[in-house]
Amino acid sequence: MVAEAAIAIGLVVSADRVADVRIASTRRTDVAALFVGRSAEQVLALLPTLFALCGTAQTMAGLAAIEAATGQRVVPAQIAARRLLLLAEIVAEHGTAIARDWPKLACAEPELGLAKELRAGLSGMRLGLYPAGDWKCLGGGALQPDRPALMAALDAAESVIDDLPVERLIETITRDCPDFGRSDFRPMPAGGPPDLGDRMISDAYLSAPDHLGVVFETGALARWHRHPRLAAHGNGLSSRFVARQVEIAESLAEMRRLAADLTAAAPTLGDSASGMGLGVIEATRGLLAHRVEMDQGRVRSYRILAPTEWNFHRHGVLVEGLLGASAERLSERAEALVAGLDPCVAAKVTLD
Amino acid sequence: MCMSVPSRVISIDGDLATVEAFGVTRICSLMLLAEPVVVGDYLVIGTGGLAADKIPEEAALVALDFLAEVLEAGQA
Repeated sequence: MVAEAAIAIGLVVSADRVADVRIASTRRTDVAALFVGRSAEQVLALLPTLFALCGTAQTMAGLAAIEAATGQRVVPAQIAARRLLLLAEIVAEHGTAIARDWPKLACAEPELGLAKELRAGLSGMRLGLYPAGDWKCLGGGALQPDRPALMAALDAAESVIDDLPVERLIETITRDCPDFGRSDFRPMPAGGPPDLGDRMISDAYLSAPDHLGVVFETGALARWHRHPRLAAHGNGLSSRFVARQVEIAESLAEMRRLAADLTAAAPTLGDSASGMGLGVIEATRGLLAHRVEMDQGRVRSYRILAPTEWNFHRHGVLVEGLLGASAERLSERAEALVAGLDPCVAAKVTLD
Repeated sequence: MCMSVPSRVISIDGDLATVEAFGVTRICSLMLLAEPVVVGDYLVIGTGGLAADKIPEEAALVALDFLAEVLEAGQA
């Protein structure tokens, strides 16, 4: 059957410590191979629906890759508008996780009404930028920013964010286990590893990526670890949740700046139908990369590398953070660490 | 890959909907959706059995055709 994927994390405890971490995943890393033979427009029509939970980031990565492959020029206003949409998705996804998952981690009830309000407000930004709905066109769509509507959406989002149940979980973690899951911190370099595009042709790399043997961690903490609230606090549990709080605040501030400066712009046309391109996007959960080869307007090769492949790698930050951890309240703390890393699929922790 | 499977609403009971895709029915919560949902709409289901988004029918059918190819190719 076709179904959404899931990750199972089995913890083996010996002498009151985690001796082994077993990750089993039903995630597929080869589905994009079936894009071969399709046109760019067909792929771009599929991406936001097929990967709807981070549909904007997936579409942005696809656009960037195909535009690079086909020599498509994109004007700065379109790039700014796309950045605004990406940040809206990041805020909506982090906010949803905070409202849905964080209360449960602190033994409280989810605040789904807040998540609903936040998502509804931010989803309107697409039409506030591209009234014709053509935000996912190569070269950009007909960009006609409705600045009052965008600012109103940001005001509403900030109001909901202020009500999110953030502090209770952070206080609980800071009191009980701030350093749980701490390991050697290896943040993803900006733009990804230098060999990313070359190595994405390998199936093995797509399911277990590394750079010279190093498995980076990716996501909010990797992006914001130099922020004053995070510097010198390592990659323990409390840092992960604070990083997402920081990212929401910084994203909303950047969105406001972008919205204030946006100008109208028309789409541009490409100059080639063949070539190879790499699109790298910092999505909610971390680095998302699309690599495409186009041949006469059709896809010859399409590869996607998602952030979960780094963070839930057998030598990645989750496993390294759990190995050797105390068995005390292990299940709930491991679940909090998984939530802090925010996999893009459902994840379940069991004690084996 | 974090694939979504657009699922068609076949019945609604308050904040819960029964949805179907590829012959499999599931129950999901509508509590994250601001838009009204009616029988026949297509939803994508996110973490915790919460419907995350309503998808236009045309886009849902294109994605379902693709997923059928995935299924046929033994990739799901």
